[in-house]
Amino acid sequence: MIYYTALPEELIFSNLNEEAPPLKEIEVDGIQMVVQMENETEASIVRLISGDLNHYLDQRLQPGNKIQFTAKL
Amino acid sequence: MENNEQTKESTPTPDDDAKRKSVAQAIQQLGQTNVPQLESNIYCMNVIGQVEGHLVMPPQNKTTKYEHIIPQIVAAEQNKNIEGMIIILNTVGGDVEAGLAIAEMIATMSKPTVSIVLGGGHSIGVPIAVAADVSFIAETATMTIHPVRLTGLVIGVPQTFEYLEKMQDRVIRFVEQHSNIGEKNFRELMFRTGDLARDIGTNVIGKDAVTYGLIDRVGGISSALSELNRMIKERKESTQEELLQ
Repeated sequence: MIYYTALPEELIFSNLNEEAPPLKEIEVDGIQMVVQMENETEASIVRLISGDLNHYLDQRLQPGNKIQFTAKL
Repeated sequence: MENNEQTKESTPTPDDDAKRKSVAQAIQQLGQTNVPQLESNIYCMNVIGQVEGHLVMPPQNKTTKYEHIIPQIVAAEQNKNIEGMIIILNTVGGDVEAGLAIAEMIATMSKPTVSIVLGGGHSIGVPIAVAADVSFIAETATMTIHPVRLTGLVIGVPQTFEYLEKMQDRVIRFVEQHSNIGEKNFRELMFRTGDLARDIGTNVIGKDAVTYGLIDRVGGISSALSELNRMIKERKESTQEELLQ
């Protein structure tokens, strides 16, 4: 890996071995995405896996946005 | 019956209210409409923090991710409602592959692109900044130009140096092709000693970047946007002329 950055390496990679939160691949309204579960009913978008370009411009689907799940009755 | 519903709605219990709110939120989050609500004909793309490549960076880094940016550029190029793109840079650099990929994507867009360096556009931020059709730099913004560094296992053989030089040449060639700075001048800035405290290289500030020919103009958001709008208008007129002929 080649980095071209103004920051020193030890500053960037100081917490490299910290465990990352588990990610989950889900489908919402036919749009596949990788999310990080915040709790039982909430997840935040990490990235989209979609071939439809409009999804990437949709403000609601931007990485970091929260998705709420409602229990089906 | 209609009347009944109306009275119900006018006196909601707190519980009902909360329920409706959560339902409304769910509809907003899980709604079926996928059409983006774009009101602007300009797409704004941010490149902040580290440019992240194949390795996920530790959480204290603010990162711009390759897999977020690239599809956005493709979508902006394809979407009929978008007529131009503005790239806002405040980056410290990052992965060479990912940075050059973003730069190449911006450079090969058919729609007008304008970049503006605010705060800093260091290292791999330099090729990204010059990739746009017209580049701007804020008067106080800086760009650090220094040699590429190799991280991880380094084998002490001449090939390592050759490889590193090859990788460095990719950056230099891209910058040379997309800006007015010559290869010789850029190399000179890259290898200058005595300018940076902890590294060799140069820190160019605002107007200096324009003097060296690295960036096109000094300016803020209004000059960047008015230039972009001018290019959009020009492009529209030229396509219309083509249609008429």
